[in-house]
Amino acid sequence: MPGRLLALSIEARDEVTVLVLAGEIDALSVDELDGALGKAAHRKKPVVIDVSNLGYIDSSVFRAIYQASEHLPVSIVVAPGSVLARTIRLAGTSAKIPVFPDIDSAGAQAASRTSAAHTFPGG
Amino acid sequence: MGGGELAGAGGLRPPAGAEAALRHLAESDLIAVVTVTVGGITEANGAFLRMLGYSDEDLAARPLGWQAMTPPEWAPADQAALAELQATGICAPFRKEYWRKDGSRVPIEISAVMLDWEPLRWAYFIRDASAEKQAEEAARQAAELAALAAELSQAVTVADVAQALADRLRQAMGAKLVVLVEADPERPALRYVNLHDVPQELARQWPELDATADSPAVRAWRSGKPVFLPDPHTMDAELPHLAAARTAAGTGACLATPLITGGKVTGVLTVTWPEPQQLSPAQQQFLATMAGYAAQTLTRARQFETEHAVAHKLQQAIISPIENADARVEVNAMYRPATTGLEVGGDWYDVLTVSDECVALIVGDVVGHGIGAASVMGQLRSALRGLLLAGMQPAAALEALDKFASIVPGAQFASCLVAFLNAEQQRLTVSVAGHMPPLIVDAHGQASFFEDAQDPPLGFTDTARRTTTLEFPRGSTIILFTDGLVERRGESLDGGMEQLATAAAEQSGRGIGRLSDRLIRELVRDSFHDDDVAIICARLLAHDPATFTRTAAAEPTQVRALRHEFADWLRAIGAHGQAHAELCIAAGEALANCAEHAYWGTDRRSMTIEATASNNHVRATVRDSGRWQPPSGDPARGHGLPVIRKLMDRVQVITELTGTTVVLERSLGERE
Repeated sequence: MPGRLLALSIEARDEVTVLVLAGEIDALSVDELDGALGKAAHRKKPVVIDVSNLGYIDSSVFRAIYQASEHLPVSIVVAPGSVLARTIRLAGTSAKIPVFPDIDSAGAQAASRTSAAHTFPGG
Repeated sequence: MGGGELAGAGGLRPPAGAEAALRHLAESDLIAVVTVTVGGITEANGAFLRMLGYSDEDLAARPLGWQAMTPPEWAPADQAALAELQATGICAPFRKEYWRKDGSRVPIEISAVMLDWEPLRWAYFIRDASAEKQAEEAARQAAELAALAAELSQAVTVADVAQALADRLRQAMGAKLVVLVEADPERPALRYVNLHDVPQELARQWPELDATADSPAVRAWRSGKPVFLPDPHTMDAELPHLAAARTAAGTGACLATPLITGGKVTGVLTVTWPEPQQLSPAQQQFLATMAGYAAQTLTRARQFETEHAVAHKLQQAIISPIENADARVEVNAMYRPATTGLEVGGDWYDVLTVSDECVALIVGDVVGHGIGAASVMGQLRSALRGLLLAGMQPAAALEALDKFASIVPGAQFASCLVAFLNAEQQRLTVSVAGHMPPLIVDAHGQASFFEDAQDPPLGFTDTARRTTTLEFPRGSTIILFTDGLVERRGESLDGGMEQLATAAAEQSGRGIGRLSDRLIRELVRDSFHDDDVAIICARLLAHDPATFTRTAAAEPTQVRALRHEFADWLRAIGAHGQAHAELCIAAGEALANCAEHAYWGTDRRSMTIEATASNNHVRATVRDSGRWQPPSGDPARGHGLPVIRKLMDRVQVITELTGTTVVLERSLGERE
């Protein structure tokens, strides 16, 4: 496959699943993100997606994240004040998906929501 | 009680026998008489009780508080009267209102004399002033009707009609809610005309009123007769399912009057009041007359809006995208329709490449408005295109157009300006047919109108037209416009032109797209402008622009490749940070759309990205030659467009049978 520009890692923590993305996501590489989100969904833990190291995103990413958020709690990590943070804000994503400055605060928030509430009857 | 001292305590005392005289007067029942203490009314005669709808039993059961009978806005008048009474022992007649037992109001004239100082006891003499009030009311209503008629004659849109009615009814009749609904011509339902005046809970319950909704408006619509519900009791008895909503809205009375045009009920005017109402025959007549005016005007306004919409569609179909192939010339053209709709249709602009060196800039204005003017405009525009593409120079083309215009009804006296901008020779060649002079702003921001070469308007075959050639050095800008940009009702044309020159000089440092935006925004300030405006801004760039052009097969791998090349080019011209990232995202989305949507179900063809950078500003054009499926689909294809609209300064999507073009513009600076 030409130009594998996306690097994706998935990490299962106690309370959350963390996806770290680097490189570029577009229509060609978004399948990888979809696949990773599908795997994460099996774990039935909130997912934290760190996009801080992405150099390019397009609307296919927003589509993928919205779709995932219909099944499980999703939060986004992006460096505050960065170009990407602005794009995410302008795209209206941050109105629907919580955005955090780092993985730990996103994880803590997601974990507290899970324990406090009923998002997962089994969790 | 008023704070007045009992200053008159030693003053005017009722003479001996006064009580007996008072009693005699009261018993005669000629006038309403009550005796009152601080605690309330102790005695009242029949005339009083009848006037206010009370019985002897009511009076016997509990003292009637005169304060509780007085609507709150009359409390200050009462205080003043009481002070006068305490000071002098009498109170001269004054006008106020009482609430009747049923909650309606009665206008009265009231006067008083003191009977006892210790404890305070006085007598009121009360006369029903309804007749005078009605006479005054009638005079006021006549004035209101005249005012309404005048306003309605100015009303252009159905929204204007609703607004005028609501204003007048609130002012003249103390109405609370004024709701205008129109009968849907297609199916049996009523639509709100002034939805913003409709309380949310009502609009939510009934987004429109159809036969299943039982409301005063629907009853009036179906019966063709007014429906009057004078008080809460009647309303709740008639329409028990609305009782809760009525209570929540605080409605005390309601009248629904059908609007009848040509023997058909075309709508309903519903008026509510916060308090119960007893409408006199004069008031009912007044409302019926208002409804009659409204019915006629509404029909006229609806017809007008339909014509207006058709004329706009026609105009949009005729005005096509700019065709400028010369990267040294930056052009932006805009058309802004009149909001009132009165003046739609006659203005046009056109930009086309006529030779390797020359781009033709054209603005014109056909006399008159509406669909007729728009169609004449379309003919003139097409004819002139043909003449210029055949190689004619401005003056020769306009002379040929004179012949054409002389045989097209409605084309005589149209104005037109043709300017050839030759980038190679840095020259303008201008011929003007009775049109507003172009404004030229030089590279230093000096603005001046080019007023020479003014020849007569189009349509007279004996006109010999002149062409003037002038230097147009690099960095110069020319602004062509129609009179709507500078004409204001009640102001001189010179004032508007001066304002334009000043604004253009101030804004001349901006990119060309921003410049035309700003000029329209600054000069056509009122949102309610009654003439359409066409404007072209063209600039010969001070430096050769950096350009970028790539064409590739419309498929995802090529989208990525072109995006990367575009990113490299942007970096090379000095774009960085937000500007770089956002232009990449926007171009990437537009290219992705080409690959994703353009060739749905047909052979894949190509996509092209072209970009130029100048004046710290990038303009990128992404084009495909395919047709979207479905062909008449929403131009806002893809979820990416809303995002790129936010990232760019300007985004244009041009859909044609031959393909789709997305134009992206952004300055290279940081934006919020």
